Amino acid sequence: MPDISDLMQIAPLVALAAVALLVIVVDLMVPARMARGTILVTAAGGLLVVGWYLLDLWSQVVPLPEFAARALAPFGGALALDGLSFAASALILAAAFFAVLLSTTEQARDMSGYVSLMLLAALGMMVLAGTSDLMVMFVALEVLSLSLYVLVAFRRGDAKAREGAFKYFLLGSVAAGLLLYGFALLYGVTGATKLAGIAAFARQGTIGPLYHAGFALVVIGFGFKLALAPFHTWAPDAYQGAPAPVTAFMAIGTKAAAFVALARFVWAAVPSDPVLAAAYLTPIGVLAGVSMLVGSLGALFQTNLKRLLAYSGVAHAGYLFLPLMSLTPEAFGQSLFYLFAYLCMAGGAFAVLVARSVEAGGDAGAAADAAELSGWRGLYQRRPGLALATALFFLAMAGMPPTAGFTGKLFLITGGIEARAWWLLAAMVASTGISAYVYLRVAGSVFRSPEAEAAAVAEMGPVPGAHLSGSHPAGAVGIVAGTAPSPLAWERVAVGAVLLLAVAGILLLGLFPNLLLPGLQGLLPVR
Amino acid sequence: MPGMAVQGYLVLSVVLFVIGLAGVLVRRSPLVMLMSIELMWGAAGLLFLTFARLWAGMEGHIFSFLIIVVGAAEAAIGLALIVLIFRTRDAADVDDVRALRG
Repeated sequence: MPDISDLMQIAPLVALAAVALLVIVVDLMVPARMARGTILVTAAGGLLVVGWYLLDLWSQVVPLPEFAARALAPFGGALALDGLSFAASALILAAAFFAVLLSTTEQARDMSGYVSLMLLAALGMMVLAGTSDLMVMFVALEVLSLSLYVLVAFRRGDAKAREGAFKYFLLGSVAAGLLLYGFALLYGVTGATKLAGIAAFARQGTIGPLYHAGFALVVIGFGFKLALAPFHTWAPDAYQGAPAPVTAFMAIGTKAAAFVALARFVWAAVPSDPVLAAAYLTPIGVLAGVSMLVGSLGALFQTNLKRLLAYSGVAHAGYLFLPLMSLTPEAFGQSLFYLFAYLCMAGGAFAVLVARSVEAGGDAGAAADAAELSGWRGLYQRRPGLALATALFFLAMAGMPPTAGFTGKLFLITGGIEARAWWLLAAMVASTGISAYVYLRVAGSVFRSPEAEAAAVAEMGPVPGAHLSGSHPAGAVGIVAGTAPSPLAWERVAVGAVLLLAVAGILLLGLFPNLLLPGLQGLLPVR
Repeated sequence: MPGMAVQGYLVLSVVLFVIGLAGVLVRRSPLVMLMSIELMWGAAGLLFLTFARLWAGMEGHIFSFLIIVVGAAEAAIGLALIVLIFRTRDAADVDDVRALRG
């Protein structure tokens, strides 16, 4: 039976749900003039409180003897409170915090609904990463998916947003159907909806075709959510249609939560028989390898930054699986470390995108223009700081030292070598080579001389909005009051804070990986 | 004793699931696709109930209730998106929805 200690153990989740509701109440209580700011401050402050609860709880339960056995399971085992769920929750909260800060530039008409849905999606992600029960996993997955379907379509009157949301919804629902059917088959074979029961069956039971089918369907279902190729087709459209903060949140949060849940599932459900285990892991490896190649090849010809980051996200999702091929606790730490690195790299890249759309005017059309890479040329001459940050984020994605992208890839490759997944390593090297071209092209284009751009602008004639600050000579020192439709200063402070945090994270994790890595290893028990 | 009956439900569930999946893949009307998705979810719910009977446990029953509840929410959002997207244009077919490519 649930008792008070169970409730205390899920304090961060309860607090997050409360903040999501509080945001709506706040919208009703404060005058409309101040509503936007109050909502965003409430959400950001609420996320900090939730993070504080999380860290406090973490430090409280670590010394407990039952936590040492990694078996703190409130609500009769419906939730799994272990180091893995804490680490993943911290990652998801950080992504949500980034997204809320970036949302200060968002001109949504229903701001409280927007922020509330974002927080609810974060709640779904945290539960998804922290459960070992198929039922809770399904509900959490749907909480986050349903919130994101709506968020992608949130820009009113934007046909691209609606189309992206519709495609995301259609493929997401089919994926949920496949996942459910897989869960049902596994329940039928094992008689358990808890991963512990499935793991016990996988060690001792006779594995039949129904079990194979169930496992395959679950992996495919998660593959859709993680945007693994060939189930990635929704990602570029949904990423392009969604507002940039939502895209950032989807890219980081969903990837982390779905990857952790899939890893937990694979951990439990892969049979202990080595031949069968290889037969179960090889298709997952093939999915990962295909994702790496499709992601990096697809990114080659993109002119839109959001689509480019979507394809790069497909490739990055593939990289995560490299250490998982050996199913050791150390290997999982390497994947988690890369997720933290990806948080900084992708969060930073999307923050640059948001900063550019603020610069260009802040409305939906300007935001769409800011995502087009052709407008990024000569950014260094106008905004040197922003251009240097852009270069850092894309160099990190390409895996250049001394960034987190380099150390992260190094750990992944170490994990791959330990797992002896040679062909997957080959795919990763090929994919890294191809995508290095993509990322370096972006990083290089911001340093191109503005003369080329000026010529292009002159050719095209005066374009309102998109090139406003570019063609303005005073743009070099930032936006002079009056040239842009005066975005509030604190919006720029918020975006700048995200940029600074991302840069600091990339450099810190790149130079001192031991700050984080030891804490991430051994989070799952030895199989 | 319940072996025969369980087998019948299993077959029915698989048939429903395949019909649903084929409907999503083949049909091009968004409403029919949504109905096909619901069919897939329903097939999974039926499978859970079947296995709940086989194992004489409650998990399958609870799970199928969750599927119904979440499925209703899913359908509500899906219908809202369909209305949103097809009210503003004359498309009645998902192949017409193709502004985003690449």
